[in-house]
Amino acid sequence: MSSDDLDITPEQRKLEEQLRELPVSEPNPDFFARLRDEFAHGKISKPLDEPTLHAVDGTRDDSGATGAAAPGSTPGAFESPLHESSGAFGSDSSRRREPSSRGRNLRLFLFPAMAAAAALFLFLFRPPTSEFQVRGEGGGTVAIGGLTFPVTDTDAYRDLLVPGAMFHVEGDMATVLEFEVGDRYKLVATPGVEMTVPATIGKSGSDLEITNGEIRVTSMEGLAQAPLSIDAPGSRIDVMGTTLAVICSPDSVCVCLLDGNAMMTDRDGSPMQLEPGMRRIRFNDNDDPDMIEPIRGDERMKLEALRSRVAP
Amino acid sequence: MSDEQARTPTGALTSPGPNSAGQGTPSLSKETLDAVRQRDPEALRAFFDHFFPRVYRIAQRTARNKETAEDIAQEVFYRIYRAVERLDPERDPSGWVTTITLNTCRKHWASKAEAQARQTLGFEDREGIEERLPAAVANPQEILESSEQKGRLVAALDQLPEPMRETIVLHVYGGLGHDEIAEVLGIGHAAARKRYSRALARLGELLEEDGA
Repeated sequence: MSSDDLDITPEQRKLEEQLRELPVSEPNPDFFARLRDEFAHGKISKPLDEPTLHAVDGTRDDSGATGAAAPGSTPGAFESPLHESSGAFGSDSSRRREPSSRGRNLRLFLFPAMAAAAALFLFLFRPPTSEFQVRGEGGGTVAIGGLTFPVTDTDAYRDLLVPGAMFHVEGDMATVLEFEVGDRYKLVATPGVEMTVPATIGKSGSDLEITNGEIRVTSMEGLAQAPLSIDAPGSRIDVMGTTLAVICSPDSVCVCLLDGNAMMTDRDGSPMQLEPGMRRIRFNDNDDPDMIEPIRGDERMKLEALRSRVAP
Repeated sequence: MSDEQARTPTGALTSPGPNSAGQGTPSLSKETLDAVRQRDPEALRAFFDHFFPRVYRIAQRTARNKETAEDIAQEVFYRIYRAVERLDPERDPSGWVTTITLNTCRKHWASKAEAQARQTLGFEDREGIEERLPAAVANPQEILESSEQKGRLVAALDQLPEPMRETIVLHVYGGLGHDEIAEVLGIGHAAARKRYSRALARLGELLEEDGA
């Protein structure tokens, strides 16, 4: 008996043994091998929502093991892709609905028209002044208003960077788009970022919105008078005086706080003071618990480098 | 670990020892976890082999049949994969993996489909039970009684309040020690021990009520 189990009476010990003796069926070896391989190669798919997918696209094969509940099986299990006999295991693309050719043609026409209209709108109604400096590095691109520019060609797209306009940075690891907003903060957008151009001082609500990718922010002396507010999916981050990174993926938001003060408020309104040196990962579906742990070495290095450029 | 060695789950699912994710195997090294974070296929295989037995055992005791348990296990590893780059190699991921497993099981347990399946009470716990009984128990009457007894035990386990049931599932089938259970459930070590003891006591009461 381990010291862990000192509270257990002999009768309970016997009951525990009976519980251990309950039969445990082993997984199907094919399933095990397949899931292992899918996991190792990043092809793993979510099984429990599959019935919805099948119902929508109407492509489910209603024959064999997939189409009918086997005797004794539960309703929730019978459409699992792992028990399909087809060769499309784990391949989401094979189950997604293809748009009709009419829809494709319409989109082909509409996208350029809308992009041109958006670009024209942004150009005509741009504010008279911009209170931020912008600088691009690397061989990547920035897409804004339906147009794409080399990230280093800031003169070409500076006028389109109006507060609130959504832009997208693409490129290799050396690509960055950097904003310096008055004397408030310096912000680095990395490849993959989809976010809005930061608002200028005095705008109510959030200053910027990020929907994907990683940004790094370090505050400057003017931030104390006007804290920065960042909207991310499911969370808002209020930056007081600090250096931090916000990393958004489709599934989660991660905030890495190097130092200073920042607050993270969830969709349900519960605020949480972030701890310097720690990162908090919040999963959007609310099923998984938040992860709070020390920030990683590489992230710390990048944040320290950014901070040193503002206050050497 | 070679690819072939780890291809069969057989054996990894028997006799779980406390504090082991997978049959008493040592913890994954920092180097392996670092490679897992980088989504290195070989490291991901090692990670899978290490945690699959625990995940599956917990899922199997939550679900009423093998297919559903496999679905739960698949969803758990899907969730792990999508967040794996944020794994901290400096920390043991066992608690994290178990929490995801538990959350997935809770979601499944609360589903209408599973509630309906529970009404038919552990058919798989009875299914093929004769083959699994020791050879000494060859008497059909004994087989029947043993099968009924196990069925009653499963029914009683299902009737336990969720916190108690989870404690039993995590300890008996997940192989978690009470300190790990405390971490996963966010309670103190003493509270975890006490909850386990109370769960067994309540289980005994339910069996007595059923037998009366």
